[in-house]
Amino acid sequence: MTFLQSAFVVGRRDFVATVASKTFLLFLLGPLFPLAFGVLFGNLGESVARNDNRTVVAIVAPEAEFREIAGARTQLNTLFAGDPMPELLRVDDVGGDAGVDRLLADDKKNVRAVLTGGVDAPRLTGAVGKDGNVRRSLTLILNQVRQQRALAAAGTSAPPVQIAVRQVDQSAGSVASAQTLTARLGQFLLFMLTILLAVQLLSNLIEEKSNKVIEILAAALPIDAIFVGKLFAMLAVSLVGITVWAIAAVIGLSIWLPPGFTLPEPAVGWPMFVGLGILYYSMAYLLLGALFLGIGSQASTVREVQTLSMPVTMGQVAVLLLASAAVGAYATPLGIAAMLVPFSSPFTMLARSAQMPEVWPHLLALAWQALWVFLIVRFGSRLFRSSVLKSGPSASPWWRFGRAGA
Amino acid sequence: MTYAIEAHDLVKTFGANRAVDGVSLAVPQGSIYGILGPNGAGKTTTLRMLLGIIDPDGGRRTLLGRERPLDAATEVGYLPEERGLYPAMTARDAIAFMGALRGLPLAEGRARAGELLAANNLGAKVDAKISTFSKGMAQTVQLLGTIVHRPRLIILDEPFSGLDALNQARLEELIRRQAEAGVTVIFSTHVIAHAERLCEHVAIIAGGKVRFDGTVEEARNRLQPQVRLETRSPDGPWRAALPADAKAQGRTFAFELPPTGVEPLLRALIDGNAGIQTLAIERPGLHDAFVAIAGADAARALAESATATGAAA
Repeated sequence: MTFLQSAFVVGRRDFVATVASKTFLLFLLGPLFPLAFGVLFGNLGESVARNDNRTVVAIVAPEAEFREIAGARTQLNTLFAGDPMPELLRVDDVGGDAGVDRLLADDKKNVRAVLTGGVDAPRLTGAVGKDGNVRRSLTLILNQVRQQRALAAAGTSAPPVQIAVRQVDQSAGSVASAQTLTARLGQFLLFMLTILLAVQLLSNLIEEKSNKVIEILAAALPIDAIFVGKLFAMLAVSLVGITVWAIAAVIGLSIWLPPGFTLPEPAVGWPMFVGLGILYYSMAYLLLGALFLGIGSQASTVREVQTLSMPVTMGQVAVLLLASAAVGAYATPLGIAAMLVPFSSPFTMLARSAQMPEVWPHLLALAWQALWVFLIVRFGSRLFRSSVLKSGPSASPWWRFGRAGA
Repeated sequence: MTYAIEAHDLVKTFGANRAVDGVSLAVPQGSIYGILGPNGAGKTTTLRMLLGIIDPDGGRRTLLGRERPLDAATEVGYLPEERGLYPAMTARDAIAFMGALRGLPLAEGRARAGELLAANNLGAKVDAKISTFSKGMAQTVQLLGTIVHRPRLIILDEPFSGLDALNQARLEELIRRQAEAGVTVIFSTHVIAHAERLCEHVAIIAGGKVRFDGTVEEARNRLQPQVRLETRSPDGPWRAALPADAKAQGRTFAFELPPTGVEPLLRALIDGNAGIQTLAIERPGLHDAFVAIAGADAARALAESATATGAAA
């Protein structure tokens, strides 16, 4: 049998065994759980956040002055997204610092700070920073009141500014920021898929080792072919999952998103970006998967695999940090390093495709990553033969695939 | 004579333990060849080296004429000592998968699996999962997976261990049928009786070394036949015809047949008026040969190994 036929026999068994199992349905439904929890706890969290983040400032001022201050707050608040200005609560004179302290300690009013002295001699007391948001917001509000008073005293007024807007589809600035967003989102999605799916390969050989099938496989096929078969079987399984999730996501988004909504176009265009995304996912999976398979093949029990998972996950996070730091900085030493380090290369290059239109660097990167897949599989299978099967040094050269057991 | 397997000076060391120490074997094509030895003798390590699962530290071997064992993989069937099957697979799929590992197309493997299972009283279990099988049934499935691709060479590591007497007899029959079809069968065992019943050739291994490699006849011929003689009286001039080390118990004597043969002995006894009541000449068995070749300690270890694995015939 050829090397590819050998790998195919193992891969087919693993693919069918995984996809035909009942647990595969659970695997496909997996992303629904965080999504459902996200929706549930997102809504809950939003209402909790609304209540928790409410900042109330008590204004010690007469009724008329408070109305001026509250009016200025409303004017300013509409200019900003969200609801950034603190809520204001009028109180009558509380009688010096002791009264202010009592007000601050009152757990029914839940006041964060107290403003005394009105617009003319404002003094803020409370659990706020000296240059914090509450002080800055109140400064804006009181300035607004003073300007309105000055204009009124001069017998004039200033109508609010109305800026006319002429919209264009895009500008250099908007494209750059949209492409950066696409680069980061693409990179993050690639990372999440890889970290969730490739880690399965850590425990992939445990089954064969525990039920002793490995001896039958090793007597019939080269260990490299067993590794490659398992690697590509699990890649195929993950691609089945991703295809199902992608179809579900497209259907969901087409229902959910408003009509006319378009995603920002990556630099290489959507078709090429999606194609590169699939290729870079495959490479990231094969690179990490080959490493995990090699490491996991040394483990004899699920407990050992669990122990190995922690440093492996930390390593993956380090890879993401490196790739993330390289976004938009591809010509810097850090960017070049992120493109060259095999494990961060797929993430960095996908981000690059969102921001830079050249295609040829991707061909080089894919070839580079494929070379590393080969090297890692070769090293992993050698390690497996020598340490698990207790074989001695093989007579065949290390770079030659397939005919170990010489 | 052509050989299915030839090994010269195979050496394998694990740490400080020299598990196989210069093993040389020649397995004639079409023969049933037994490797006999106690636990730890180096049988499994030798078989794993022959199959290419592990590489030897020294020496060389050929399998069906190929220097790289995996080059002959499609013509070889292997049943390891520790049986291995995927429990979630059906019997048919398990056999077909094992055939596929040896180059048999999956569809053909599935068809042959059905036939083999039916021929081995497992026709009703073709599509049952391995996890529902008894140990004996699972071993049968694995053995059928070993032969489904119709190999020229079958290597069985301790195939009888863990089997009950009925299944052992079935396995012996299956091995004989394979040999009749021209397949070379090599198996390792602790149990002399299996080797004696099945094999034309045996290798006796102890302490990582081959102590004997030849036919069963040659092994037995290493010892002189044993004579048991009963006479009318315990003594007389005929006693001079018996070897000096003959063991006497009253009128009964036991001794090795002298190298001169049976005729001179008989003549001397008759001429000396020994009054022969009974005379039995027994050829030594393989067990006696094993003791003589490997030593009493190895024979004891062999018996203990057979008891421990439940493979006694």
